[in-house]
Amino acid sequence: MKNKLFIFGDSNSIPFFGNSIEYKKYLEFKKGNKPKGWSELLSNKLNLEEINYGEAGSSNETIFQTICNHITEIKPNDYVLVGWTFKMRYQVVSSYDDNFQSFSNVLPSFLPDETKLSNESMNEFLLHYDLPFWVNKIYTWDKILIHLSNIGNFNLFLWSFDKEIGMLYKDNCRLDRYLGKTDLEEYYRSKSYQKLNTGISEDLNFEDDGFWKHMELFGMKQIWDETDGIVDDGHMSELGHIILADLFYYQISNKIKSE
Amino acid sequence: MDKTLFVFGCSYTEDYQTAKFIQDYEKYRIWKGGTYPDSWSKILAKKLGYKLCNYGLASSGNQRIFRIFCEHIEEYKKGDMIILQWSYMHRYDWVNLNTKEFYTLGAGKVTEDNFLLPSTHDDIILNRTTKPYYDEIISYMNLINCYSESKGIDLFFWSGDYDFIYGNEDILNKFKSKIILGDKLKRGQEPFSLVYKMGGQTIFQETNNEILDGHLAESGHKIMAELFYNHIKQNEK
Repeated sequence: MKNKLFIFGDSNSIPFFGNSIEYKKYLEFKKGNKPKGWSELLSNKLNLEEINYGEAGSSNETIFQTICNHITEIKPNDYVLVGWTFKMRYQVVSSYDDNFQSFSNVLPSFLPDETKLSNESMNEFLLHYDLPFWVNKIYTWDKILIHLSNIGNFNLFLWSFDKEIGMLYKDNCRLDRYLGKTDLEEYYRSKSYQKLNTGISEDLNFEDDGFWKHMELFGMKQIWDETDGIVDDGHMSELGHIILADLFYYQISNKIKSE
Repeated sequence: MDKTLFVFGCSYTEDYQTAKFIQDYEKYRIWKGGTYPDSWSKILAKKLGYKLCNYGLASSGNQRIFRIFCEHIEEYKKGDMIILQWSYMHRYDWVNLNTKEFYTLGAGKVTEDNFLLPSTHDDIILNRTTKPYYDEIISYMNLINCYSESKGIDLFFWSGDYDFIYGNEDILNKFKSKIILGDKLKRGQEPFSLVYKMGGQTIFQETNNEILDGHLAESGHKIMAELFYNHIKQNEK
C-alpha cells in the first residue's frame, strides 16, 4: 500500500478550480486536455497516493481547522504539504439560522453577500488581519504541526505565496520544513529545472519579493497570460503547476536525502 | 516528583498571585491576612504529586488559550498531565496597534483604545457565538488529543462556559472521560454549579460582599480541586 501525500491549502493547492466557468473555458482553450495540477504531478513523482483537502477561497483558519479534523488519518511516513494562504483572509459565520450555520471566507476580492456582518466590519477585519503581526498565529500553528510530525514520524512541509508568511520562514529556524524561498538559486541551476526548458535565461534575483514573484521568474504564468486574456483567471497556468511540482520535488528530495 | 501538571485557561485557571490586573485579588489577599490561599491547580498538583506549571491567563479567549498551549509544546514530556480549560466563545483576539501585541476583547463596550469600531466589535461578538466557532474549538481538541495520545500525556478538558462541552453529546462521546465531570453535569451546567452545590464559595460570598469578585474563594478552590482529583483518579488508565 502506498504512503499518502496530504495536501492542505487554498485554490493554489488544488488541481485547477473544480466546476467553475473559468475552468470550463480553460478546458476549451486546452482543447479538452485536462492539465494535471502540481499536487498530482508531485504525488506521481514521489509515488504517493494524493489526498487533497485544499479548498478554493480558504482562509488560514479554515486550512488549520481542516488539518485538525483530518490529523488522525495521517500515518507514519506519509507526506503532508500545508500551503498557507494570504494572511488577511478570515472566516465568518454567514447565517444565524441554526440550520444553516457555516463559515464563509472573506477575501479582499470577495465579501460574501449572505454574511450578517456589515461591509464596514468586514473591511475593518481585512485591514486588521493584514497587519504583519498576524503571522505569529501561523508560527504557533506550525509549531504544533512540526512537533506532531516529529512524534508521529510523518514528513511535513510548509509553504505560502504570502510574502510575510514566507519571511517568517526565512527569519527563523524552520527553513528545513519550508518549501519555496530556500534553494531557489540551486534549483535554477539544477538539471531538473533545465530540463523543463521554460525559456527563462535572464539573471534572477531571489532576494526580494514573495514566492509568487519567484515562480514568475522561473517562467510561471497566470491562466490569464497563457490564454491571452480569454480566460479571466489569475491562478497558475499548466506550466506553473509543472514548475511548482518540479521545484517541490527537487526540494523535498534534497531535504529527505540530507536527513 | 518528575511529572508536571500543565494547566491552561483564563482567570478560572490562573493563580491569584499572577493575575495582577484583577485588583480585587489584592484586596482578597489582605482580607485573608496577607496570604493568598492555594488555587485548585496548586491543590490538585500537590494531591497528585506533580510539579505545577500554570499557563492560565486572566481574560483569555479560546484562540489565545490554544496559542499558549502551542507555544509551550516543547515543554511537555511523556507522563505529564495537561488540563485545558476553554473560555467564553465571545472573547476574541485583536492586536494593540501601540504595543503590537495580541490582546483579548469580549462582550461589552469598546473604546477608541481598542483599535476597532464599536459596530465591528458588536458584529464580531454576535458572529462568534454561533455553532461553527464551537466546531472550530472541537477541531483544536482533536489535534490536542492526537498530540497527547502520540506523546503519552494525560489530557483533560473543561470549560467555564455553560454553553460549551457539558450536555453536548458529540463532545462527550468523542472525548469521554477526558471531559472533567462530563459524566456529572447536564446541559447548561459547568463545574462551578457543582462546586456551589457542595458549599464552595466565591470571593464575594466569602467576604460577605465586601469584595465584589465572582471568582472562586478558598473553599471553592478546595472543592474544585477535590472534584477534579476524583475525576482523574476514577479515570486513571
